[in-house]
Amino acid sequence: MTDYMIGTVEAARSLTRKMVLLYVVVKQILAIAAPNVDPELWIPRAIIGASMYGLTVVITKNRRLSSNWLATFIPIIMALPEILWVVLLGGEWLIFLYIIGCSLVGMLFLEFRGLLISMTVNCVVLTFCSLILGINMSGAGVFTMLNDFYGIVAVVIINILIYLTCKQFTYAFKQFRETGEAFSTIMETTPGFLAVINGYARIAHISRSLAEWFGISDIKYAKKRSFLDLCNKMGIMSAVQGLMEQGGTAEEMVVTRHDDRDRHFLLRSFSMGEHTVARTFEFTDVTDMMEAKMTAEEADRQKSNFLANMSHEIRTPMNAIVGMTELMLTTPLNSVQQSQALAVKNAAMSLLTIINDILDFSKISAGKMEAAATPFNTAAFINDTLNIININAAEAGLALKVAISNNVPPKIIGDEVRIKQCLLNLLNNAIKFTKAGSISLDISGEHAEGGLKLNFTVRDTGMGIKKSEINRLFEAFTQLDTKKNRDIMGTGLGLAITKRLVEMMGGQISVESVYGEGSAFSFYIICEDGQDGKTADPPNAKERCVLEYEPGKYQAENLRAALLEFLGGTAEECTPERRDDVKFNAFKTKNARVLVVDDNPVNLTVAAGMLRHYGIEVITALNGKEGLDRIQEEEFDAAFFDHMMPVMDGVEAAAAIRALGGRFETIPIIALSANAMPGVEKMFLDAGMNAYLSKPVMMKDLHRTLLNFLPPEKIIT
Amino acid sequence: MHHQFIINPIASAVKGRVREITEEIKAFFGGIGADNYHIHVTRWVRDGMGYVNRFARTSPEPVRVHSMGGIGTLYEMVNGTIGLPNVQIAAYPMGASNFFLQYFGTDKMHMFRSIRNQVFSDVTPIDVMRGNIGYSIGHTVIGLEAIADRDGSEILERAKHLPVSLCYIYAGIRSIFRVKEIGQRYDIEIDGVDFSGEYVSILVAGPPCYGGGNMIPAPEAHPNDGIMEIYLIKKMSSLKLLSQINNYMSGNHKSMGDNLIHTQGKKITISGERDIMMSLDSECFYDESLTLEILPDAIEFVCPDGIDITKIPRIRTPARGRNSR
Repeated sequence: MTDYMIGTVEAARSLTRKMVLLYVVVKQILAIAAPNVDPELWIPRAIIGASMYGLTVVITKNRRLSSNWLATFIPIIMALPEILWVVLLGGEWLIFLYIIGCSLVGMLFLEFRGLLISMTVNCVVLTFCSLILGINMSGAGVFTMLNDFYGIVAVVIINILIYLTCKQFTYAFKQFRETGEAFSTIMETTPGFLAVINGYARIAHISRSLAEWFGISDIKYAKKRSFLDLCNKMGIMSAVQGLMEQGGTAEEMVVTRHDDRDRHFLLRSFSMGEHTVARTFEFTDVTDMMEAKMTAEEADRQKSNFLANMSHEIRTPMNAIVGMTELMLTTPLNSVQQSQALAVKNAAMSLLTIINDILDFSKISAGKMEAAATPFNTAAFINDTLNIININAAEAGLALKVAISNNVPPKIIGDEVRIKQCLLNLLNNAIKFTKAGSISLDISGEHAEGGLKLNFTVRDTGMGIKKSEINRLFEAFTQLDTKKNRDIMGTGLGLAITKRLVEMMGGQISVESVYGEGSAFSFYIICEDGQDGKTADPPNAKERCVLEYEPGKYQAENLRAALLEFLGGTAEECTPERRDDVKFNAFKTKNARVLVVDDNPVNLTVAAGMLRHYGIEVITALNGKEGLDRIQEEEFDAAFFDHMMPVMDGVEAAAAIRALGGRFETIPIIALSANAMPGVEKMFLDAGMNAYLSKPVMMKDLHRTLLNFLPPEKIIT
Repeated sequence: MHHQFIINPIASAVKGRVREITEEIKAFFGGIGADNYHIHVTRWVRDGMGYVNRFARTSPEPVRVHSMGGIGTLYEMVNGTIGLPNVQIAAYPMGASNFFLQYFGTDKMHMFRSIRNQVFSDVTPIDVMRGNIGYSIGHTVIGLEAIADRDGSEILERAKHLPVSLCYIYAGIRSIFRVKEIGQRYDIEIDGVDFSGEYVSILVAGPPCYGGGNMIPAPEAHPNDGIMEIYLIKKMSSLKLLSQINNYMSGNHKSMGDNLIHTQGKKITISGERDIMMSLDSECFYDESLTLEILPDAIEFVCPDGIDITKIPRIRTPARGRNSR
């Protein structure tokens, strides 16, 4: 063998050794230095590096280097940078450049044919490189290599390695292509409105549905376009840009496209990285949902308006009926006339209760009712309730038994009016549905999470409720056993209202009943102990206070004393004056002058009649403008203004009076309105009025208002 | 007066120089002892448009917007501020194509590059074309030229190191060989006159040049004459178009004979039998139709002292009257 051949053999042996060594070393280095590195990714790189090395060996041999020493080390030195690049730095570009020349064709064929083609291409590249490196005969490298057995072995090994690498790459490309095709299929077929934008905010992917929504018939026309341009066309650019500005990972907003029909979309967007603008966008058409919501809101608004109007329209004549009856009862009447007048008044009050129930139910349904917690005296509260119910129970011939535990505090912070409403509803129901026997009320308290848990239980010995009907008990406008209860009046709203009020106050209501034997309704509410957390001992060491009202006997005074003794409190807080039966002659006035403004002459007559009983001089006007003029011309101690009036309504008149300044800033103005819907009181107070009385005007309310607003020196008790 | 600088970091003369340009702006304002400026480097396509709109709308004082990029950045500035009375626009030739500024003369480019000139010079009113897609200060092309525009920019995006002109020439030649596919029937109405027919390309021009300023397809155009110059190239074979394209690009329209219709108008409405590809100041769009209307003196444009736009002569005076079909 010539020196050249010996050198080639040595080089080929060296190549084989180095390749094996390189593989082992790289694997070991990776295992130690970078345990997290994926060997599947790095080993092909190592193989490529080895291929480069082998290639360099063969090329160098072709330069006919005579020294074995050089033949061994020069290839290593020459190949070192490539090996380092490929193995240590990744060197994707180097891999790419090499493969593109000698293996791209091979990549297209995964079979053995690919190997042969790859070998051929490799030889061409080899020849080309040889020429670059200065071989003086075209194609010499190939021929020399083919004449050299070990050279051929080296090339075959190199090509096998390349083939394996290519297979790896091909597999990766195939996976990539399949993933891409799957993604494209999803984007093309999904009914969803989806888009993916790249780092320049241009469209990278878009679903057909969204492209069509943007007015683009073919997806290919949408790709690479500025996403914001399309959004601009739809009139939603600022919303989308704002979302991109925020740079959040997930945002939700409703964007509206103004078109023939406004369409609303819920836009959700996800950022695809912290340092990129690339994002996904998903639009969901919520137009139908929003239109349904708007329709429901509109219906609710119309319902509220209807209720407000109905309330107003019914309360106006009711004011005349109740007011005139009350005035009539103050005149000398014979016994028949008096009982007839009382019957009219009672019927009117029943009708008013029904109207109030309907209004309450509507307020609760609309979520416009809120519990207003204020401190109140427990003894006075129970006394008031019992004073009302005791009379009804006595009239029905039923015994009433009330048991109060000593853990009920003397003062409570809660909504006294609503608690009383719930309690009266249950007690009145018990009286209505009990023909004989007794009614009992148990009140107890316990400290619970969130405050004081106040428990009430109303038991009766009435007809009871069938088990099958208990579930329907709290439904609105529902009356059970209507055949049997034909003679019992009611709207079927009482229990529904009670349940919602109890829930509004953080409580629950339940019922136990045995058909034919009686029922027990229990509820609790969460309120606060009015003693500011002080655990004062109850005034009475008794565990329970039991008050018994026997039918036909009026023992209110004795029982009130017992209540005060047990719960504590002063007699002033718990006097009969808290009851509604206020008399016209409770106090008189001297030189008091009041202006009453109302467009309804009957209401004017009622108001004037009620006020004159207090000795008040009443001046009337028929609209706000007239009232405004009168109040400037004359001096009044107070003015009552109706709300809805022609020319100028009460709210406008009040605002105009306050705007006059001087004495007009302080003159008491009281709204007198048949509008009892939520929010009206605030509206009147905001307009500068001092108080609000709803029609029909109740004597107790008028009485309290006059005491509050008339100058004290003009009141003669 | 507040100066709002909008820098497009990927514009060809800005790439890799954002810090340098920013420092230059700061040094200039530091030198004159003023701090009535703000710099915004755009983050994505149309970021500058949205940003400048919000800024100008809420600014209590006049705003001079400095567009530091190419025609695309200028497009965004115009579209972001059009209709706002307190805005003036200054354009810097920092893009691959600054054809709008080339109109003022290639020897004048250094004057537009000077921050001092752009800060202290007066403004001149400039016409804008209002389209149903956006506003264009330069030219709007439809059909072949728009497709070449789109393809050229796509090639440039993929092969960033290739010369810009090479990308667009390649895209243009490729488009010429797709004339059969690109040419279509358009329903066109110009100021109420019907110009419908089969066309391969339509150019509605403000200034006369495009393509870096070395092509003058609209020699009659002037950016503040209150009228649009419109050129309709009839559908023809690829080879014929290839032989004519040089005449078109150099403004030698007479030698194109009946293959080109030149007219003027204040309003043009175009719709195609298929969706039409259009390019407004090199920003590409697809849509069913396009309506363009000239808005005379719609924006206030900063002309460096020494350049009077009204005194720049037209390359060619339009023929009297309107060309008919």
